[in-house]
Amino acid sequence: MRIFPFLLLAVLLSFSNGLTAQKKFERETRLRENDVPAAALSFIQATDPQERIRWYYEENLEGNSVEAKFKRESARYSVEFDTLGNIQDVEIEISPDELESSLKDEVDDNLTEQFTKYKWQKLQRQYTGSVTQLQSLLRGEQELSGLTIRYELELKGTKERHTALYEITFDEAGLITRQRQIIFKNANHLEY
Amino acid sequence: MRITWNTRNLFGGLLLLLGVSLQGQSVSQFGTLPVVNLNIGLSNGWEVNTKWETRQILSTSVDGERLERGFDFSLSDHAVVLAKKVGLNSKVAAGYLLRFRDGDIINRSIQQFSVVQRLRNFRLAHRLASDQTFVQTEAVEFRLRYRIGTEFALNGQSADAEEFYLKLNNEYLASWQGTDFDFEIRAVPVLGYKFTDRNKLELGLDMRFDSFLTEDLRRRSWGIIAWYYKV
Repeated sequence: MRIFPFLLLAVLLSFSNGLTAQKKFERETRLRENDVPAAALSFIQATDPQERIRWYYEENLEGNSVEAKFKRESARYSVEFDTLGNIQDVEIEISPDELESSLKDEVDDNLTEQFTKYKWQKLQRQYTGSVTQLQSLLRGEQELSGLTIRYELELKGTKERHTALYEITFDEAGLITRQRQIIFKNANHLEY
Repeated sequence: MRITWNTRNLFGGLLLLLGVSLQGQSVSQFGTLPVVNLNIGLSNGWEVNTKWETRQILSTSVDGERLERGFDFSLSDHAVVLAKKVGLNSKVAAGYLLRFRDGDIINRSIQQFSVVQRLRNFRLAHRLASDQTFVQTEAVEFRLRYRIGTEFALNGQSADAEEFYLKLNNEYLASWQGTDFDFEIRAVPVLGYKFTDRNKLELGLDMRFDSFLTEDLRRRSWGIIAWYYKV
């Protein structure tokens, strides 16, 4: 009788799926300030931050980066640098209600073409530009001219009866430029 | 592997919890509980979860007076559960467990629904379960269970491969057997290490308190070592 579970396991293993590749892989590790590239530290210090800054080292399939994260006036900021400390972009989490209605409508039209059902979960506005432009943005000087603005949306979407979480990037015209499925970390130690 | 200041504090907290839990009151038992949990993914959101668990009693006390001490094999459980993903973060599952104890075989059917929420700096899991235990010479025991669990990364915002995490489970079980009703509370703090996303090892304490409604409060504490592997 005690052999039965092992026999069942052997049968089930023969039906198991092979490994599938992750669509979006990300791994982040907390960084001490001493380990942050000097250029990244200087950039942040020049914006005269009043908040506590948390630094992370992020690894993903497209390359590695260093991120500074902080919260300011209830908004969450993420400032991304390459591994040498050169600024890449600034992301600020916003509510979908903050989008212009015409832009949201354009994005919704594009999403409707791809998903039978969807729900906006999290939205970030992403700014890219020169060092001085981005520092000015972070100092609250609201100099948005010359900055390139994109949006990164986390969306719960259904395609062909399959529901998953997606990361969708779109531009100021509402054109979707990238779409990736977010793969959840294994949770069997939480479920069973 | 560098241990950060936060990890040291959490170790200290776990030891404090251990110290508090071992204060004797009514019936107390302490032992070990090794677990192997194997998860096999199938197609279309189906998976099979198998679990082997054994218990060994190291000491038994009544009203603080130690009655027995040693290594006493208590039982072994073998469970197989078939699960289906029914939402973005949720699964339903049903299965069966065989328990081998004192030469007897005890049968149990299991049903559960689980949801895992991805929050900003931790994961929160809810598990609602019911089971029915069949013993030849006793009335069927029906149980209803709710467990809430959290996973905190000890480095970064989420636990990645080659990182430690802290998991805290709290479970409430209501049991009906014939005309008897009982209530049990479980608290399980563990320190886990993720070798890979599919391979984890956990060490911790499983503390159980039952028989609240009688005067014979029972406290059991199990030192857990659990290995989770996903094929």
